[in-house]
Amino acid sequence: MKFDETAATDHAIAKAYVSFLVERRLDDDDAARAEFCRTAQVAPKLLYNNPHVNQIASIFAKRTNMERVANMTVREYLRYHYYYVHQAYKYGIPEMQQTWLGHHIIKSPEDCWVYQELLYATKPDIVLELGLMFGGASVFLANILKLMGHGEVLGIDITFKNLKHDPRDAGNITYLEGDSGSARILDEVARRCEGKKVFVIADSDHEKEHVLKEIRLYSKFVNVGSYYVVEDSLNDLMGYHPVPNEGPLAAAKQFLTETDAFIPDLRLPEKYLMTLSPHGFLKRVK
Amino acid sequence: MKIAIAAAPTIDRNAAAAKLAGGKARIVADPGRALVQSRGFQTMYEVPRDLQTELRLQLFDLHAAELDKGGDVVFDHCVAEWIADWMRWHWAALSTRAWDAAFAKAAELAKRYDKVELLTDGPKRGYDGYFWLDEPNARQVAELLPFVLQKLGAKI
Repeated sequence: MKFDETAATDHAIAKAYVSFLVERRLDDDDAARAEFCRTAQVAPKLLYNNPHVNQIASIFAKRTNMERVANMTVREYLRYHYYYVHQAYKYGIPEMQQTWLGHHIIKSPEDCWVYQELLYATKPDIVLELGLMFGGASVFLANILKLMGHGEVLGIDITFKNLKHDPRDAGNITYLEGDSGSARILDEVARRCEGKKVFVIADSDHEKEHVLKEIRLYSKFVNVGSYYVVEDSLNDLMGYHPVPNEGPLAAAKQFLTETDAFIPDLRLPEKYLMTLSPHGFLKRVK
Repeated sequence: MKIAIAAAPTIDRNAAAAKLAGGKARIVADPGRALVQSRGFQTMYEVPRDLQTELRLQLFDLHAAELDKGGDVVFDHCVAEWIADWMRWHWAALSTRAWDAAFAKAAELAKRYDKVELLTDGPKRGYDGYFWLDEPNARQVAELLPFVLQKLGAKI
């Protein structure tokens, strides 16, 4: 086995060991290390005390996902979730995408559970969804409402081109295609929501000004005790935006300076800690 | 003639480039999108710091290769735009000497233009997932452009 003479010795040994594991399709264990040290003529102590070996072991070891996650920081876990699950459809691994009864859904399991709890607690007549993408979340929400025996989903998106199902299949979903900021859509929503208990989930364009505009337009439909959820505020914390702009979190915080009718509910919606919408569950209190 | 168009990222240059080319010169599009996407990223801004420096320097090499091809050409972009954007978002990632080297390289390229067409207004560019169409950012880049062009020694 040849080492890279231009690299630092510990780095060269680590690289050679990774190549050894990959080429032989081995997991990192004592037998593999012994074999590597014998064939590469590396003193075992140099491998066991190599500063990179723990990171190698965390990847090349037969471990359950939980064992691997236990060694991740929360930030690493969230990054893993975002790229390998939440956005898996975008990066060529659609089989990893979260699904609800076969429908691709771009949320997190914890947040979906929180929605189930909040919907049951608030019992809305209408769940107003701003931004639909595949429509899988609409099916999820509509199914929960159906199980509760009450409520329907009203979904709005500027385009239906990404929708993967016929809303009629769920029965209690209505979709409106158009700009959420347009008078036509706003009037239609006002007509449908008049006198109703409304729960809003905003998950369209994540640029701050757009999110803020939507909150200002649609928060009035939320009844006292219900929620306006500014989704994906985690983007601001994790730097997920492809451009260095502010996003949903900044919008939510600014909106809260403009009103005392809403408060950020940091307790119930964030009780599982892992939420994609930290500080984004805005509860109407008056 | 080698003509480069310099403008804020929000301005569409297609019409201006076609007019300047007059059906004779070839029109070269900004290679940034293809370069960034070849590394699996959507925009330059989300590329990790060290790789971003490397890619921003590679843009200069790609530009030099286009200038080397000869003949009449209209670039729908300009090295000054890349420098302005670099200064706005990535400047702190470079040491003083490395910045001097990068700027000198950009100046060599800028001096090879016969003319820079500085657009201060024009139709709005459509969203394509690469160029960032944020108006305040565009204004800031536009404010930097005349200064950068002057420092690069470009002929406006």
